Amino acid sequence: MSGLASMRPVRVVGIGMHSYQFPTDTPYVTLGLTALRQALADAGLQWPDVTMAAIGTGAIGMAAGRVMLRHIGSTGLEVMQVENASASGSSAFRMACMMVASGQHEIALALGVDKFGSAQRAAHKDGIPRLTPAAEIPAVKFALMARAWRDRYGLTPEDMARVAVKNHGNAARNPYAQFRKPRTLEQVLNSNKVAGDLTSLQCTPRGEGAAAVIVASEDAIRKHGLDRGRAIRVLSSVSSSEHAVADEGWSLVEMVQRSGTAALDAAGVEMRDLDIIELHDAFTIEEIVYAEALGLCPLGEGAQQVREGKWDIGGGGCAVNPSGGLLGMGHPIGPTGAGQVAEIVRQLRGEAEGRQHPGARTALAHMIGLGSVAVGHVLQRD
Amino acid sequence: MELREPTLYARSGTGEDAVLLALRDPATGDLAFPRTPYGIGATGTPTEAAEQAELSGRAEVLTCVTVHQPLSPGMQVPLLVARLRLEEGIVLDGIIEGTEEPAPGTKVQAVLVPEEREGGAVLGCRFRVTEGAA
Repeated sequence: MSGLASMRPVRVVGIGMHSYQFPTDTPYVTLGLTALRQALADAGLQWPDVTMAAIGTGAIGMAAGRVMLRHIGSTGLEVMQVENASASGSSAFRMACMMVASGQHEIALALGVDKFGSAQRAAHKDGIPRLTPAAEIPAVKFALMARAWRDRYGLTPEDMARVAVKNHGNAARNPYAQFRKPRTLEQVLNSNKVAGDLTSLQCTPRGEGAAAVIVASEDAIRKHGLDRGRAIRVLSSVSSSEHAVADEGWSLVEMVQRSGTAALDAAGVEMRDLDIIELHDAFTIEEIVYAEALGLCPLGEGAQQVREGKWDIGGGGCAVNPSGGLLGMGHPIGPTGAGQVAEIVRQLRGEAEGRQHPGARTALAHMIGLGSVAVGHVLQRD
Repeated sequence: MELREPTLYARSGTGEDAVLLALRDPATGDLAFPRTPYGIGATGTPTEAAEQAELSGRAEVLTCVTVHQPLSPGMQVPLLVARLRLEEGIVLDGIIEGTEEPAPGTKVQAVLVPEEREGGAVLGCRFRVTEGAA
């Protein structure tokens, strides 16, 4: 776990996306370079200006970075591949931030890219049989969490479905989102039952895509004459994994609590300062539980906040997943965390056309990875 | 009939009841299930230094859901998956016999039941309701 406070400032100067989409025959190189070229243009930089690239991917395979980047120019830059399950893109972003903050590089790229289908899980190679393999399936695991929240706090299926309505609505206004249709409460509740109270529209889709984020030092911003007004400061970067806890096996919740607190403390901000949170909502229950665990409201009160529209864009509070989140924007794994940062940067610049959260200044990007790991970043405009 | 996963459970000697195979740290009493060749995660004790232990298979339901879709190859649905607290304190997930979701607090027992597998039937481990929630 480490913040950025003791190191030199880092700012996001460029963002780019390839839309998330259902699996196609498009090579990952096309996806990744589309996002990269957008990010370079957004920053006003040339490719040789970037001296380090962290490539977040879960399924492409060895040397994904070089195989892709040689098509934009073999400049001799440092290339590192980062695999941290769903948090691969977040971890690549953290790595790029650390490289600049520590003075190793002036300008670094975090690029998440993935294709669906060929990821392998280490948990399937540990040689240990499972008593109940079904319980390892994420939809089942989170259906159990949803039922536990129902039993403890009175969470209803409608409460969870409202999260999907909100996030599909946000995604419908996001040109990079995989799902572009607003959904009604009835459509969400009446979609196919998957496990417990989770229906298919409450589960993230499978897909592919890419997201690129370029970070730079203050010196580099001056040297290259970049637009400092659009350069968003990264206040903190933290990463951690689960502790064993005895509370009915929900160590994930404790991990998110600790991770969120660490991210805010390292940034020197409080939860009430946050205008936006992008978080890991692969299943609707996750948004409610993680937002509670991060401290947006007390445990058990998330459903009420959703019912009152407090997490909506322009809802008067902290907007949660204005991108549409994993439920609506999609979750291609490698890009997801970098895509969260790109959305936040767009929002903090005031450039999220059609889905702008008014007055957004400070935001948290928080991602979970299988295992489990948590990665958090706080960003702020001047 | 063979056990599907003989490193995880064994016959208890009482009817269809099963015991679960665990490790115990001799210094702290910490238990680890399943028994692995890698050690006890809670204390870092290697397996060679741990004691072998049998858990009763008696548990309480913490929460339970029905899986409606076959989410993995060969999964038969509807399937009841529950989070359970074993009498010895370990929390784990297990399959509940039948199709009616037991309420939190319901007592269950690990049992060995025939399951079809390529090459013939084997005994798998499920949890059977023994008494309702208090």
